[in-house]
Amino acid sequence: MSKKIIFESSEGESFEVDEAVALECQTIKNMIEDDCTDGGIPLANVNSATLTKVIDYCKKHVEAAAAAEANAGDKDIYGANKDIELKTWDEEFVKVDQPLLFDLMLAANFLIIPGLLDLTCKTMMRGKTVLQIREIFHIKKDYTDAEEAEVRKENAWAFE
Amino acid sequence: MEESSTSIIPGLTDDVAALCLSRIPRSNFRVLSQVCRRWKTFLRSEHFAAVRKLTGTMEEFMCVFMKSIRGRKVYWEVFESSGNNLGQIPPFPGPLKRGFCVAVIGGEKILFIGGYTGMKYWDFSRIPPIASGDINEFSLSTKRNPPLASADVYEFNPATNSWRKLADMNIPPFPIGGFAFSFKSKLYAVANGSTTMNIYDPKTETWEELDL
Repeated sequence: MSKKIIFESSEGESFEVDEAVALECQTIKNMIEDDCTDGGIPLANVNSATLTKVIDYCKKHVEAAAAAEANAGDKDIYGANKDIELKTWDEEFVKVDQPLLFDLMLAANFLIIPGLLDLTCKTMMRGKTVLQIREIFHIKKDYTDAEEAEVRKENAWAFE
Repeated sequence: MEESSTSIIPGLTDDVAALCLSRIPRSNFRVLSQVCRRWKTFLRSEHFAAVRKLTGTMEEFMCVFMKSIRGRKVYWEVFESSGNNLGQIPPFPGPLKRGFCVAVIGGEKILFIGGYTGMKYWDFSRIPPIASGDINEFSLSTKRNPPLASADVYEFNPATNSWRKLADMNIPPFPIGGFAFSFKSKLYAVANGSTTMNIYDPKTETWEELDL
């Protein structure tokens, strides 16, 4: 049986995961290498709901990597069936409300899970208008209407 | 800096917010700049450029230097890697010059070096149709207004999307043309017929001279 790692959420709830799953988190990987994971790893800034999702993500990606390796010699000519499946799974995975998405992002940053961080970051702004961004992220518009028009028509290549 | 105490995205630490923003293509920055002042300032900061470099989200663009036939207009067109035209670099500051040099330093900053001013472009409306091209223009305009060599050097920084004037060269090297190039992140400029080379070090932001 593989070694288990125990996470403890901010609410004090314990989550037992396979070491392979925990290794998806660079931060935890370092701790495991330094051999300081006995008695569980307290994650004071990750709540249970977020941690559940994070573990789901890591599990899925460990499984997908294992499956990809097992089928390495058996790829169809397009080579990427599994990738497409994983991508679809990822897309479903991030269909969550804004606060949870933020929590996932912060957790991914803290635990250093590059894939999850990238996924959540990309999801956040996708296809949103300026008004939607302000509304969703509670950002106050501090431009006057005239200033806003000025910014909009600024003749700068970077902003075309 | 206009950095205020408010966070870039409320509810996220600024470093994570920066990571989010870094994943957005530069072509959308203009839209993002409309969100609020903080975002606009942040998107144009060196810090943000560094984050993009670090996260491997920096994009490469090709800047094509354009000059109208009589040199009345100079500008850069910007293309992305797939060939789409993204627009132009903001207009070059200062008076229109001729005989200038262009160099790229550090792989990303465009330098606009020297040149001379003093042409009166309205003169050309009177040029007979056969007279076109630089030589005619030049001989016509010098009668009224002798060219004035410029020691100005401007730098375009893609991170901030803006031009900045650097320290002047010691000697204006381009009254009669010359050339400039960058090598090992320093800039070298020589005037035609001159035996002195101007060398600019961006680290110290100073010029030194080297006799050839």
